[in-house]
Amino acid sequence: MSGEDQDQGPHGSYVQKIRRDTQEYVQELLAENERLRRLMVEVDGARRQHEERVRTLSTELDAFRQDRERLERQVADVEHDNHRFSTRFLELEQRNSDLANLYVATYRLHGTLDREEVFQAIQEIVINLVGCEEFGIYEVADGGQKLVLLSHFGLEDERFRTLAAEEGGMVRRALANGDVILAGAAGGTHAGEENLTACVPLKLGGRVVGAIVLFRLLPQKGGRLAAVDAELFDILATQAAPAVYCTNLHSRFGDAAEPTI
Amino acid sequence: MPTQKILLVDDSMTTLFMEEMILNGRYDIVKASNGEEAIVKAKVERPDLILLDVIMPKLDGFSACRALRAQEETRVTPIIMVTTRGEEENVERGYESGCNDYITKPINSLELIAKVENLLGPAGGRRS
Repeated sequence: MSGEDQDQGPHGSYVQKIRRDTQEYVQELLAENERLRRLMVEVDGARRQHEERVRTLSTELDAFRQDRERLERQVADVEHDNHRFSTRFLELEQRNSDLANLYVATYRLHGTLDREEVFQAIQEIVINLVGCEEFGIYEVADGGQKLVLLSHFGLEDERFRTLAAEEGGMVRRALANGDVILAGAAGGTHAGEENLTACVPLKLGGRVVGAIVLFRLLPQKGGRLAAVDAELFDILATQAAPAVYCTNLHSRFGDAAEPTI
Repeated sequence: MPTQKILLVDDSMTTLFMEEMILNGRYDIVKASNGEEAIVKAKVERPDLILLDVIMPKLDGFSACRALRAQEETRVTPIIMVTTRGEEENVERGYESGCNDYITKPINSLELIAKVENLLGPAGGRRS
Protein backbone atom coordinates (compact mmCIF):
# COMPACT_ATOMS: atom_id res chain seq x y z
CA MET A 1 0.00 0.00 0.00
CA SER A 2 1.51 3.43 -0.89
CA GLY A 3 1.74 6.38 1.36
CA GLU A 4 -1.17 8.05 -0.35
CA ASP A 5 -3.18 4.88 0.06
CA GLN A 6 -2.30 4.89 3.77
CA ASP A 7 -3.62 8.44 4.03
CA GLN A 8 -6.92 7.46 2.32
CA GLY A 9 -7.42 4.18 4.19
CA PRO A 10 -9.48 3.62 7.29
CA HIS A 11 -6.52 4.78 9.43
CA GLY A 12 -5.68 7.72 7.18
CA SER A 13 -6.49 10.51 9.60
CA TYR A 14 -4.46 8.83 12.31
CA VAL A 15 -1.42 8.45 10.01
CA GLN A 16 -1.78 12.04 8.89
CA LYS A 17 -1.83 13.10 12.45
CA ILE A 18 1.26 11.02 13.19
CA ARG A 19 3.03 12.42 10.16
CA ARG A 20 2.08 15.99 11.18
CA ASP A 21 3.15 15.46 14.76
CA THR A 22 6.40 13.89 13.60
CA GLN A 23 7.06 16.80 11.26
CA GLU A 24 6.29 19.24 14.04
CA TYR A 25 8.54 17.33 16.40
CA VAL A 26 11.37 17.34 13.86
CA GLN A 27 10.88 21.09 13.38
CA GLU A 28 11.01 21.58 17.10
CA LEU A 29 14.16 19.49 17.33
CA LEU A 30 15.73 21.43 14.50
CA ALA A 31 14.75 24.68 16.14
CA GLU A 32 16.11 23.49 19.50
CA ASN A 33 19.26 22.33 17.79
CA GLU A 34 19.67 25.74 16.21
CA ARG A 35 19.09 27.39 19.54
CA LEU A 36 21.61 25.18 21.24
CA ARG A 37 24.06 25.76 18.37
CA ARG A 38 23.71 29.51 18.84
CA LEU A 39 24.04 29.06 22.60
CA MET A 40 27.22 27.04 22.07
CA VAL A 41 28.62 29.81 19.94
CA GLU A 42 27.83 32.36 22.66
CA VAL A 43 29.29 30.21 25.44
CA ASP A 44 32.40 29.55 23.42
CA GLY A 45 32.80 33.26 22.80
CA ALA A 46 32.33 34.00 26.49
CA ARG A 47 34.84 31.30 27.40
CA ARG A 48 37.43 32.81 25.12
CA GLN A 49 36.79 36.22 26.63
CA HIS A 50 37.15 34.86 30.16
CA GLU A 51 40.34 33.03 29.26
CA GLU A 52 41.72 36.27 27.85
CA ARG A 53 40.66 38.08 31.02
CA VAL A 54 42.33 35.43 33.19
CA ARG A 55 45.55 35.80 31.20
CA THR A 56 45.42 39.58 31.64
CA LEU A 57 44.73 39.32 35.39
CA SER A 58 47.48 36.75 35.80
CA THR A 59 49.94 39.10 34.13
CA GLU A 60 48.81 41.95 36.42
CA LEU A 61 49.07 39.67 39.45
CA ASP A 62 52.65 38.79 38.55
CA ALA A 63 53.43 42.47 38.20
CA PHE A 64 51.86 43.21 41.61
CA ARG A 65 53.85 40.36 43.19
CA GLN A 66 57.06 41.76 41.77
CA ASP A 67 56.12 45.25 43.04
CA ARG A 68 55.35 43.82 46.47
CA GLU A 69 58.68 42.00 46.61
CA ARG A 70 60.45 45.18 45.52
CA LEU A 71 58.63 47.21 48.18
CA GLU A 72 59.35 44.57 50.84
CA ARG A 73 63.04 44.81 49.98
CA GLN A 74 62.83 48.60 50.21
CA VAL A 75 61.07 48.35 53.59
CA ALA A 76 63.77 45.97 54.83
CA ASP A 77 66.45 48.41 53.63
CA VAL A 78 64.69 51.33 55.33
CA GLU A 79 64.32 49.31 58.56
CA HIS A 80 67.99 48.42 58.39
CA ASP A 81 68.90 52.07 57.87
CA ASN A 82 66.57 53.09 60.71
CA HIS A 83 68.24 50.60 63.01
CA ARG A 84 71.66 51.84 61.96
CA PHE A 85 70.63 55.49 62.49
CA SER A 86 69.04 54.65 65.85
CA THR A 87 72.19 52.88 66.99
CA ARG A 88 74.34 55.74 65.80
CA PHE A 89 71.99 58.26 67.45
CA LEU A 90 72.26 56.44 70.76
CA GLU A 91 76.05 56.33 70.43
CA LEU A 92 76.14 60.07 69.78
CA GLU A 93 73.75 60.79 72.65
CA GLN A 94 75.91 58.71 74.96
CA ARG A 95 79.01 60.54 73.76
CA ASN A 96 77.21 63.85 74.35
CA SER A 97 76.41 62.70 77.85
CA ASP A 98 80.03 61.69 78.44
CA LEU A 99 81.25 65.07 77.17
CA ALA A 100 78.75 66.80 79.46
CA ASN A 101 80.25 64.84 82.37
CA LEU A 102 83.73 66.04 81.42
CA TYR A 103 82.54 69.62 81.02
CA VAL A 104 80.82 69.57 84.41
CA ALA A 105 83.93 68.12 86.05
CA THR A 106 86.19 70.77 84.52
CA TYR A 107 83.78 73.57 85.35
CA ARG A 108 83.44 72.49 88.96
CA LEU A 109 87.19 72.15 89.50
CA HIS A 110 87.95 75.62 88.18
CA GLY A 111 84.75 77.34 89.21
CA THR A 112 85.97 78.37 92.65
CA LEU A 113 89.01 79.80 94.39
CA ASP A 114 88.14 78.23 97.72
CA ARG A 115 90.28 75.23 98.66
CA GLU A 116 87.51 73.41 100.52
CA GLU A 117 85.12 73.92 97.65
CA VAL A 118 87.67 72.42 95.24
CA PHE A 119 88.02 69.37 97.49
CA GLN A 120 84.24 69.24 97.69
CA ALA A 121 84.06 69.37 93.89
CA ILE A 122 86.58 66.54 93.59
CA GLN A 123 84.53 64.45 95.99
CA GLU A 124 81.31 65.17 94.13
CA ILE A 125 82.92 64.27 90.81
CA VAL A 126 84.13 60.94 92.13
CA ILE A 127 80.86 60.12 93.92
CA ASN A 128 78.29 61.41 91.44
CA LEU A 129 79.98 61.28 88.04
CA VAL A 130 82.25 58.25 88.45
CA GLY A 131 80.08 56.45 91.01
CA CYS A 132 82.41 55.56 93.87
CA GLU A 133 81.56 55.37 97.57
CA GLU A 134 85.01 54.80 99.09
CA PHE A 135 87.94 56.94 98.07
CA GLY A 136 90.60 59.22 99.43
CA ILE A 137 92.50 62.27 98.25
CA TYR A 138 96.14 61.89 99.23
CA GLU A 139 99.30 63.91 99.00
CA VAL A 140 102.74 62.50 98.33
CA ALA A 141 105.03 62.26 101.32
CA ASP A 142 108.45 60.87 102.23
CA GLY A 143 109.87 61.57 98.80
CA GLY A 144 107.22 59.55 97.04
CA GLN A 145 107.39 56.55 99.36
CA LYS A 146 103.91 56.96 100.71
CA LEU A 147 100.62 58.80 100.41
CA VAL A 148 99.05 60.68 103.31
CA LEU A 149 95.29 61.15 103.47
CA LEU A 150 94.00 64.71 103.09
CA SER A 151 90.32 64.11 102.50
CA HIS A 152 88.14 61.08 102.11
CA PHE A 153 84.66 59.68 101.62
CA GLY A 154 83.75 56.38 103.22
CA LEU A 155 87.23 55.54 104.52
CA GLU A 156 86.76 55.44 108.26
CA ASP A 157 89.37 52.79 108.99
CA GLU A 158 92.75 54.00 110.26
CA ARG A 159 94.58 51.78 107.80
CA PHE A 160 93.62 54.20 105.03
CA ARG A 161 95.40 57.15 106.67
CA THR A 162 98.58 56.32 104.81
CA LEU A 163 99.23 54.18 101.78
CA ALA A 164 102.68 52.83 101.08
CA ALA A 165 104.03 53.01 97.54
CA GLU A 166 105.17 49.39 97.56
CA GLU A 167 107.43 48.04 94.85
CA GLY A 168 105.37 46.75 91.93
CA GLY A 169 102.15 48.07 93.33
CA MET A 170 99.53 50.27 91.72
CA VAL A 171 100.38 53.26 93.91
CA ARG A 172 104.09 53.03 93.13
CA ARG A 173 103.47 52.84 89.38
CA ALA A 174 101.02 55.76 89.43
CA LEU A 175 103.44 57.96 91.38
CA ALA A 176 106.44 56.94 89.30
CA ASN A 177 104.92 57.24 85.85
CA GLY A 178 102.15 59.77 86.39
CA ASP A 179 99.72 57.38 84.77
CA VAL A 180 96.23 56.46 85.93
CA ILE A 181 96.46 52.86 87.11
CA LEU A 182 93.33 50.71 87.10
CA ALA A 183 92.91 47.44 88.96
CA GLY A 184 93.47 44.52 86.65
CA ALA A 185 95.83 46.46 84.38
CA ALA A 186 99.13 44.92 83.34
CA GLY A 187 101.73 45.19 86.06
CA GLY A 188 99.66 43.67 88.80
CA THR A 189 99.04 44.91 92.31
CA HIS A 190 100.81 44.64 95.58
CA ALA A 191 99.52 42.66 98.50
CA GLY A 192 97.37 45.06 100.45
CA GLU A 193 96.07 46.72 97.27
CA GLU A 194 93.41 44.10 96.59
CA ASN A 195 90.65 46.58 97.31
CA LEU A 196 92.04 49.32 95.09
CA THR A 197 89.95 50.07 92.03
CA ALA A 198 92.03 52.90 90.63
CA CYS A 199 94.90 55.19 91.51
CA VAL A 200 94.70 58.63 89.87
CA PRO A 201 97.92 60.64 90.22
CA LEU A 202 97.48 64.36 90.75
CA LYS A 203 100.00 66.23 88.65
CA LEU A 204 101.24 69.76 88.97
CA GLY A 205 103.88 71.19 86.68
CA GLY A 206 104.93 67.73 85.53
CA ARG A 207 105.33 66.40 89.06
CA VAL A 208 103.05 63.99 90.87
CA VAL A 209 102.06 65.75 94.07
CA GLY A 210 99.22 63.54 95.20
CA ALA A 211 96.70 60.92 94.19
CA ILE A 212 93.04 60.08 94.32
CA VAL A 213 92.74 56.44 95.31
CA LEU A 214 89.41 54.77 94.63
CA PHE A 215 88.31 51.68 96.51
CA ARG A 216 84.70 50.52 96.40
CA LEU A 217 82.42 51.57 93.54
CA LEU A 218 78.68 52.04 93.94
CA PRO A 219 76.80 48.70 93.61
CA GLN A 220 75.09 49.73 90.38
CA LYS A 221 78.50 50.06 88.66
CA GLY A 222 78.80 46.28 88.79
CA GLY A 223 82.44 46.58 89.80
CA ARG A 224 83.35 48.00 86.39
CA LEU A 225 84.59 51.36 85.23
CA ALA A 226 83.23 52.85 82.00
CA ALA A 227 85.19 54.51 79.23
CA VAL A 228 84.03 57.95 80.40
CA ASP A 229 85.43 57.19 83.85
CA ALA A 230 88.92 56.94 82.34
CA GLU A 231 88.38 60.35 80.75
CA LEU A 232 87.20 61.77 84.09
CA PHE A 233 90.32 60.36 85.72
CA ASP A 234 92.44 62.12 83.09
CA ILE A 235 90.73 65.41 83.91
CA LEU A 236 91.22 64.87 87.64
CA ALA A 237 94.85 63.90 87.11
CA THR A 238 95.64 67.04 85.15
CA GLN A 239 93.19 69.60 86.53
CA ALA A 240 92.59 68.84 90.20
CA ALA A 241 96.05 69.67 91.52
CA PRO A 242 96.33 72.95 89.59
CA ALA A 243 92.86 73.89 90.86
CA VAL A 244 93.94 73.29 94.44
CA TYR A 245 97.20 75.13 93.78
CA CYS A 246 95.26 78.15 92.52
CA THR A 247 93.22 78.18 95.72
CA ASN A 248 96.44 78.10 97.73
CA LEU A 249 97.76 81.08 95.77
CA HIS A 250 94.50 82.92 96.19
CA SER A 251 94.39 82.30 99.93
CA ARG A 252 98.02 83.46 100.21
CA PHE A 253 97.83 86.56 98.06
CA GLY A 254 94.08 87.04 97.96
CA ASP A 255 92.93 90.58 97.28
CA ALA A 256 96.50 91.79 96.97
CA ALA A 257 96.70 90.28 93.49
CA GLU A 258 95.33 92.28 90.61
CA PRO A 259 92.31 90.51 89.10
CA THR A 260 93.81 90.35 85.62
CA ILE A 261 95.56 87.94 83.32
CA MET B 1 52.31 78.63 76.14
CA PRO B 2 54.93 78.02 78.87
CA THR B 3 57.06 74.90 78.83
CA GLN B 4 57.03 72.41 81.66
CA LYS B 5 59.00 73.11 84.80
CA ILE B 6 61.23 70.77 86.77
CA LEU B 7 62.51 71.32 90.31
CA LEU B 8 65.99 69.86 90.87
CA VAL B 9 66.82 69.07 94.49
CA ASP B 10 70.36 68.03 95.48
CA ASP B 11 73.01 69.19 97.93
CA SER B 12 75.69 68.46 95.32
CA MET B 13 76.37 71.37 92.98
CA THR B 14 77.97 68.92 90.58
CA THR B 15 74.82 66.83 90.36
CA LEU B 16 72.59 69.90 90.03
CA PHE B 17 74.82 71.21 87.25
CA MET B 18 74.76 67.84 85.49
CA GLU B 19 70.97 67.50 85.75
CA GLU B 20 70.49 71.06 84.53
CA MET B 21 72.73 70.42 81.53
CA ILE B 22 70.71 67.36 80.62
CA LEU B 23 67.27 68.94 81.03
CA ASN B 24 67.81 72.62 80.21
CA GLY B 25 66.47 73.60 76.85
CA ARG B 26 63.76 70.97 77.12
CA TYR B 27 62.28 72.22 80.39
CA ASP B 28 62.37 75.27 82.64
CA ILE B 29 64.60 74.55 85.64
CA VAL B 30 64.45 75.65 89.27
CA LYS B 31 66.83 74.34 91.91
CA ALA B 32 66.98 73.67 95.66
CA SER B 33 69.91 72.40 97.71
CA ASN B 34 68.12 70.58 100.53
CA GLY B 35 64.82 69.03 101.48
CA GLU B 36 63.46 71.99 103.41
CA GLU B 37 64.17 74.40 100.57
CA ALA B 38 62.60 71.93 98.16
CA ILE B 39 59.29 71.92 100.02
CA VAL B 40 59.10 75.71 100.04
CA LYS B 41 60.14 76.11 96.40
CA ALA B 42 57.78 73.39 95.24
CA LYS B 43 54.90 75.20 96.89
CA VAL B 44 55.84 78.51 95.26
CA GLU B 45 57.04 77.35 91.83
CA ARG B 46 54.48 74.53 91.33
CA PRO B 47 56.82 72.42 89.19
CA ASP B 48 55.49 69.76 86.87
CA LEU B 49 58.06 67.27 88.16
CA ILE B 50 60.56 67.07 91.02
CA LEU B 51 63.96 65.39 90.82
CA LEU B 52 64.79 64.65 94.44
CA ASP B 53 68.11 63.48 95.89
CA VAL B 54 67.98 61.09 98.83
CA ILE B 55 70.98 61.96 100.98
CA MET B 56 70.77 65.65 101.87
CA PRO B 57 71.37 67.79 104.93
CA LYS B 58 68.53 69.28 107.01
CA LEU B 59 65.89 66.98 105.49
CA ASP B 60 66.61 63.83 103.53
CA GLY B 61 64.84 62.86 100.35
CA PHE B 62 62.50 60.31 101.88
CA SER B 63 61.23 62.79 104.48
CA ALA B 64 60.99 65.56 101.91
CA CYS B 65 59.00 63.28 99.62
CA ARG B 66 56.52 62.49 102.37
CA ALA B 67 56.18 66.19 103.16
CA LEU B 68 55.62 67.02 99.49
CA ARG B 69 52.88 64.40 99.32
CA ALA B 70 51.29 65.86 102.43
CA GLN B 71 50.91 69.36 101.00
CA GLU B 72 48.04 69.96 98.62
CA GLU B 73 50.07 71.85 96.04
CA THR B 74 52.44 68.91 95.43
CA ARG B 75 50.29 65.97 96.40
CA VAL B 76 50.22 64.58 92.86
CA THR B 77 53.36 66.15 91.41
CA PRO B 78 55.51 63.41 89.87
CA ILE B 79 58.69 62.79 91.88
CA ILE B 80 61.78 60.94 90.69
CA MET B 81 64.19 60.08 93.49
CA VAL B 82 67.90 60.22 92.75
CA THR B 83 69.89 57.78 94.81
CA THR B 84 73.50 56.70 95.01
CA ARG B 85 72.41 53.28 96.15
CA GLY B 86 69.96 51.26 94.13
CA GLU B 87 69.44 48.40 96.52
CA GLU B 88 65.95 47.01 96.81
CA GLU B 89 65.34 48.34 100.31
CA ASN B 90 66.22 51.88 99.25
CA VAL B 91 63.98 51.63 96.22
CA GLU B 92 61.13 50.33 98.38
CA ARG B 93 61.62 53.19 100.85
CA GLY B 94 61.41 55.61 97.99
CA TYR B 95 58.15 54.23 96.71
CA GLU B 96 56.75 54.02 100.23
CA SER B 97 57.54 57.68 100.75
CA GLY B 98 55.54 58.50 97.64
CA CYS B 99 57.92 58.79 94.72
CA ASN B 100 56.86 57.78 91.22
CA ASP B 101 60.21 56.51 89.96
CA TYR B 102 63.90 56.49 90.86
CA ILE B 103 67.26 56.78 89.14
CA THR B 104 70.72 55.90 90.41
CA LYS B 105 73.95 57.83 90.20
CA PRO B 106 76.01 58.25 88.13
CA ILE B 107 73.08 59.59 86.14
CA ASN B 108 72.71 58.37 82.57
CA SER B 109 71.30 61.24 80.55
CA LEU B 110 69.26 59.05 78.19
CA GLU B 111 67.74 57.18 81.11
CA LEU B 112 66.89 60.42 82.92
CA ILE B 113 65.23 61.93 79.86
CA ALA B 114 63.27 58.73 79.26
CA LYS B 115 62.01 58.66 82.86
CA VAL B 116 61.06 62.34 82.79
CA GLU B 117 59.23 61.97 79.48
CA ASN B 118 57.50 58.87 80.80
CA LEU B 119 55.95 61.01 83.54
CA LEU B 120 55.51 64.28 81.67
CA GLY B 121 55.09 63.22 78.06
CA PRO B 122 57.50 64.17 75.25
CA ALA B 123 59.68 67.23 75.85
CA GLY B 124 58.06 70.46 74.82
CA GLY B 125 54.74 69.49 76.27
CA ARG B 126 52.54 72.11 77.75
CA ARG B 127 52.12 72.77 81.44
CA SER B 128 49.10 71.16 83.01
